[in-house]
Amino acid sequence: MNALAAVLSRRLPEGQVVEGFRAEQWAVCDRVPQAVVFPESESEVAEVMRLATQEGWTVVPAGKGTWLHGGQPPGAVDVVLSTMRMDRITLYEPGDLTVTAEGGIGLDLLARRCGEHGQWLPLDPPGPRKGTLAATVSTASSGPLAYHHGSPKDHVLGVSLVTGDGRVLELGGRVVKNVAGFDVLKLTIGSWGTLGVLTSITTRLHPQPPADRTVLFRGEAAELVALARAIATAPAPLAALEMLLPGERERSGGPVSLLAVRILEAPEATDEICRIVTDTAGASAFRQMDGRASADLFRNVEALESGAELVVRLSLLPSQLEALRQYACTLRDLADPDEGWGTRLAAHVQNGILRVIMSRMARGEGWIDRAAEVIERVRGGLEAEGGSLTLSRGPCELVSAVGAWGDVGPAAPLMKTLKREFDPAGVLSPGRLGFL
Amino acid sequence: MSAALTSEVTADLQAIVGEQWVITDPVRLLAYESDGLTAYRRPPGAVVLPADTDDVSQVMACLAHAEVPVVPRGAGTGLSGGALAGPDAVIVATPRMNRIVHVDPENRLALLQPGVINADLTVAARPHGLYYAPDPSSQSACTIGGNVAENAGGPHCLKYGVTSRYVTGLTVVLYDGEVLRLGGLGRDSAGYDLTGVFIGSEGCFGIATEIEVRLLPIPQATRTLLAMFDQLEDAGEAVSAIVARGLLPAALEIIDRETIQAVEASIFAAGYPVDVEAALVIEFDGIEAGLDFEAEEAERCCWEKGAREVRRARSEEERLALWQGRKKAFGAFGRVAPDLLVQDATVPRTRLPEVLRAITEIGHRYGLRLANVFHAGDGNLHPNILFDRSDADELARVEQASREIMAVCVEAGGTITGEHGVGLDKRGYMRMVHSRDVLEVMRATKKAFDPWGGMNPGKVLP
Amino acid sequence: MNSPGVALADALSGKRDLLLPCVHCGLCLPACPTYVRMHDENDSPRGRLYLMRAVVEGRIDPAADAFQTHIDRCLGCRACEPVCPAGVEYGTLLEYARAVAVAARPQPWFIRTLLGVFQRPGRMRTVMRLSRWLRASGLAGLGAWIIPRRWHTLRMGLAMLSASGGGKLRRLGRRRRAAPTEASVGPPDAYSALPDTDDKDEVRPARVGLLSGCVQAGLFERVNDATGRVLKANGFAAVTPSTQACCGALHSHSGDLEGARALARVNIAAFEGADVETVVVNAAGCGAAMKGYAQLLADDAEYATRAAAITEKIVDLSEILVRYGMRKGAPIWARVTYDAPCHLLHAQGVAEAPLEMLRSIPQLELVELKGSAECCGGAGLYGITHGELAQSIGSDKVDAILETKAEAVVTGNPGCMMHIGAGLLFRGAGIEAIHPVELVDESYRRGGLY
Ligand SMILES: Cc1cc2nc3c(=O)[nH]c(=O)nc-3n(C[C@H](O)[C@H](O)[C@H](O)COP(=O)(O)OP(=O)(O)OC[C@H]3O[C@@H](n4cnc5c(N)ncnc54)[C@H](O)[C@@H]3O)c2cc1C
Ligand code: SF4
Ligand code: SF4
Repeated sequence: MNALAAVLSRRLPEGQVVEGFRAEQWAVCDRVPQAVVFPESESEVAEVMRLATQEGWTVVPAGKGTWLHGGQPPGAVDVVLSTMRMDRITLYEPGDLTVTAEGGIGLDLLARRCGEHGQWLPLDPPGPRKGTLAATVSTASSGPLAYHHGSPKDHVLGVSLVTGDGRVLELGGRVVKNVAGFDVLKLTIGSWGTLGVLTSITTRLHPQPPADRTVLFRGEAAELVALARAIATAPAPLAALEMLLPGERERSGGPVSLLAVRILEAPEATDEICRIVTDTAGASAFRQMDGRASADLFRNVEALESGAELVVRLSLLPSQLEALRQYACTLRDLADPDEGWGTRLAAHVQNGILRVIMSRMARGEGWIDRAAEVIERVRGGLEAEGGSLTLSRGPCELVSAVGAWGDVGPAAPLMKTLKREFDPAGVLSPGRLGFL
Repeated sequence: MSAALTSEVTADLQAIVGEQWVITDPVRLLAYESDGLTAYRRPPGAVVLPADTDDVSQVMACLAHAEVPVVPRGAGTGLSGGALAGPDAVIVATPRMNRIVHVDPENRLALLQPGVINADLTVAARPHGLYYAPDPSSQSACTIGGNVAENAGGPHCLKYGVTSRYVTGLTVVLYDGEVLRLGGLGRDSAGYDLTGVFIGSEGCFGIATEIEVRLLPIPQATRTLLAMFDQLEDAGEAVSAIVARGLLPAALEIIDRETIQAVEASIFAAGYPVDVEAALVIEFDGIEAGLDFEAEEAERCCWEKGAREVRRARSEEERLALWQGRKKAFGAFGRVAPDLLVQDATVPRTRLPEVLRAITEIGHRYGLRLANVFHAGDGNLHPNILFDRSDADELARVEQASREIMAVCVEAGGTITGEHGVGLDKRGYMRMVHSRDVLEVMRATKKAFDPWGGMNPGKVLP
Repeated sequence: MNSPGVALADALSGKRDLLLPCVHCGLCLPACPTYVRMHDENDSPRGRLYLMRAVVEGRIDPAADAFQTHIDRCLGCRACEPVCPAGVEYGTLLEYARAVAVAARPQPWFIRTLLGVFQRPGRMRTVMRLSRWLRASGLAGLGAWIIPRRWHTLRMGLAMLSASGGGKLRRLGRRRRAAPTEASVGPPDAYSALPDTDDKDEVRPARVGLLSGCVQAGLFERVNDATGRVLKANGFAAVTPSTQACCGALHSHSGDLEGARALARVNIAAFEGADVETVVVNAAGCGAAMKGYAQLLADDAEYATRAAAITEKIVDLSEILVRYGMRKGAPIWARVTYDAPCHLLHAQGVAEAPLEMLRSIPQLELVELKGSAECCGGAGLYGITHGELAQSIGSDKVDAILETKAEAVVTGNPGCMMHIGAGLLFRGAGIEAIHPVELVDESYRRGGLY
């Protein structure tokens, strides 16, 4: 047992520390941790963090380890702290439409428990459903439902956070309206584990939608873009508006593009919204799916990134969807032709976000440099137009080379100050957010 | 911080914004000694009225240089004393910054200066079939900047959420005059959500000088019901029943007997029966089809919980009439008692009935007149204490009682303020809900934005 | 506490209930034309009430510049009243505040002189005769053009005088046009008889009293004449007691409460003598003032009940015409817009009646005026005393009017007619401000009803 793991084992109950080859599958990018810990309580998390600060070990908080490659690779990884054994629901009062659960609860388990009371948390981040609530909140991940139902920052009411030096902070609360003091809670959402470990989360719930319907349109990419924009500005509450495009150059007989319009309203309203959508489209839908089929389609959208080697998120104002598509086409050439290109584009039309999802990149002499050059060029173009490019997933060298996120600009010093407050010794996921 | 609002400083300020936009006459400063909460009076050292981000930046740099603290102010409708400054501080007020820079229907966005009045935005968006969702009861007067600073809510935030849900980007000026652009739709901002943490910062971090917000399509139709109950608790039960049935109304508002009587006695009499214990306003909105069904379901819940009468609006006028009693409540109190203490605690919805019982009991015990107006759907209570400040004994009882009410709410898993903010007024209660460590982190967060301590000092933190 | 403070405190002592309800909520701020332009809370209703309270509490001296300036700068338009959730009676409080302000620091000589004139019918007649001569000779119009801007008071005064002339009405909307909109088209047999009143609950009063008004009588005789004819055509016989006087509005607005009370007593007596159940007023400002007699004389032992009785009888011309139904006259093919006088809309709460009156005219196209509820800046003598601000307010009004492309703007108050008229004149807009009854009268005339 290595020295670090030994110290930890002495402090934590039996079986909570893992090292050696069993730690390998918890590698963050190519950095294998010296130990992985699975605390079962908040106080144990605090104990680990106090120790880490004292010893100067770097700690990367994790959930089920499904997302360790997301974000920028941290500079060093001594310990991976997984909250997956903290997966209890601690307070659930359906009448309040809120639930409090430990951070390590899987989204699937949470959905099941809330579903028993006809409630749900409308969050559909990319990735497998078993992913933890804490990881979702910590990365502020969301999917097609975000525009209408909100993203983690709109759902989360309160958290318990263990800071880098082991303080336990209860931020926010259990009630849906709360302005008692500064909203520090917001800083933790999307902080990628650089401010602390989320051990408990209270979130809003919604009544489950009485009906679920998806209307599908298909056509050539360019005309579908126009259609998507028209539907996006139609006066109807749409739960999601997702455009799925094949990555290949368009050719006749090739795969077609799809536009999926999801409606989650009462049955009568659903019919009416459908009518508005088809009227706006001026075309009849190519398919309509109800209930299970509709949910499954979107389940597939969530799973799009599974197994992908490169995921790039492009963002511009929603009205610039066509421009986004053009940028995405520039990136297409990075795919491996031997794999049949294997690229897909998926756009959250209402939010102006387009993801380029590539199952395998083209390798060969100098491929990292070439990819870096293309990505930087696209990023430059997008940023000049007020947009952004995020490298959600990619080969470690590539992410390190171009950075997962663009430049933060003049707010960087302020963020660094905040980081120091939560994590004075700088042990939490250093470098995960690039400059932080 | 050594305050030095010398005549040179005022002259510099005048040079920046123009002479007429700096107020220093002590008599004229009186109008700025209170906001919507008159319990506190503190005239500022001066008031400056800048026109744009650039003005604000220069004004702040000038004041920072002289080490004079700054207090932002919008329309001064705040109910926690947040916009008050002492004689050694300067109010930077935004009424001149009232331009709607643009409404962008394609992206359902609007870009605004902070002094734009909440309701004016909706008026500007309406021709595009859009509106701005957060609707504080003060929306005809309060500014978007003030809404951002307080993270304002409103009757319809049960379904639609509060201000933070709709603000997508900000331009803020820090105390030293630095201009930061935060967030913005169409970009994934790297790093921490500074936009999110700025919202609700009550003017203690900086001044928001440009605000980007999301607009929503105007709902096709609404259904409004007014249910009358002989027991306040029954109204609370009806709310729970509606939620349990999986309905999501746009608004669920309760006013109690004392409030109804105050309104009915005012010139805004809304025709509510004065002998009921509670009136519940229920509103649904959305696509026309299906709304009737929802309204009927809700009506059934009310009958089941013992409603005496349920009215349904059949026209826009009738809808406004049903809302009247709720909307005019605050003003009507002015006619009933010389002073009013507005509280703003929030509790988990299911705890409403017991908390109400406890509050009533506290009122009785201290011999005080309590009038309850609240956003029942999200558990946000406004128990208003009606009293006379000139009666010292009563004043003492009011203070005691309100502390007890807060304690009851916190005990029930709630919090001390749901939408009005802490300001000057509720600082004393902060320790009831936050640990020392959390307060320390809040202090540090403020310090990250304002290391000089010049922004709205003495507010929010105990 | 200084003595004027005591005076206000005294003046308000019985009125404490008027000042206290202000809960300082600020909902009145955006409704106030001076606040939205000056952006200073002292120029808002809440700020002015706060200043009043500060005087009552003895915190400030009413002679202080700030008190004087901000109370004086109030238009008295009372747009702040309907939006106030606490129902603060701002208009009444303002009159007391003005009285205190004036007591603390006398007004400029020309205001005093002017008010004096209004109190003495003899001098009034002389002044009006002189004014009419100035207007008829074209000197007023000429003066408004050539006098430099910096002599604002004179320039504005002459322009207002010139604008009071009227004269374009006879040519308005004579040519038949394609029907504008469904709604504004009257029935084909437009010349209808007196509407049946049997189905109305109330009995149509046969005899009504009519206030002549001083400016109205002096400069807008044609409006008074039209009023008489239209009333008659609709079955009312109007009597105008010769002992009546100026209504006193200008006096109470300028803080001369005693002057206002004296005039009120005269009018009460005059209309009591006329033995009428209803007193019709065709000038919004006068109507509002007379509806306020009860409040004004509440502490007058002899007159309190008599004032209350008269107050009950006051109606605006539009109210009485619309209440009992109106006859229709000939079509007028014109596009007009309506500007609501503050003292009708905010002070008297009369919103729909004038519009209905206009809708009774066949073919008349009535287009909505943006910001119709906002003051035009006329506000009695305001246009003259607060040139710059009044002009800023007025020019927004003129912009809105021009935007409607209307051929005339209709408003039922002499001050507004003159102020808006002057604004239009300065712009060389070529359209006039007219009283609603003038249009009805013209329609009747063309229809051969007289
Ligand atoms: C009758 C009435 C009803 C109300 N109803 C509601 C309600 O339903 N929901 C609700 O949430 N609130 C309500 N309020 C409270 C109040 O209206 C809100 O808090 C509102 O957001 C304040 O806006 P304001 O422009 O008046 O801000 P102000 O009162 O002027 O200022 C409030 C705070 O914001 C800061 N501030 C103002 N502008 C800026 C800026 N540009 N940048 C940074 N800081 C700034 C000030 O320093 C101060 O701390 C009500 C108030 C009244 C009087
Ligand atoms: S709206 Fe009425 S109560 Fe509110 S500040 Fe204005 S005058 Fe006072
Ligand atoms: S009367 Fe008119 S100008 Fe005066 S305070 Fe009221 S709204 Fe403002």
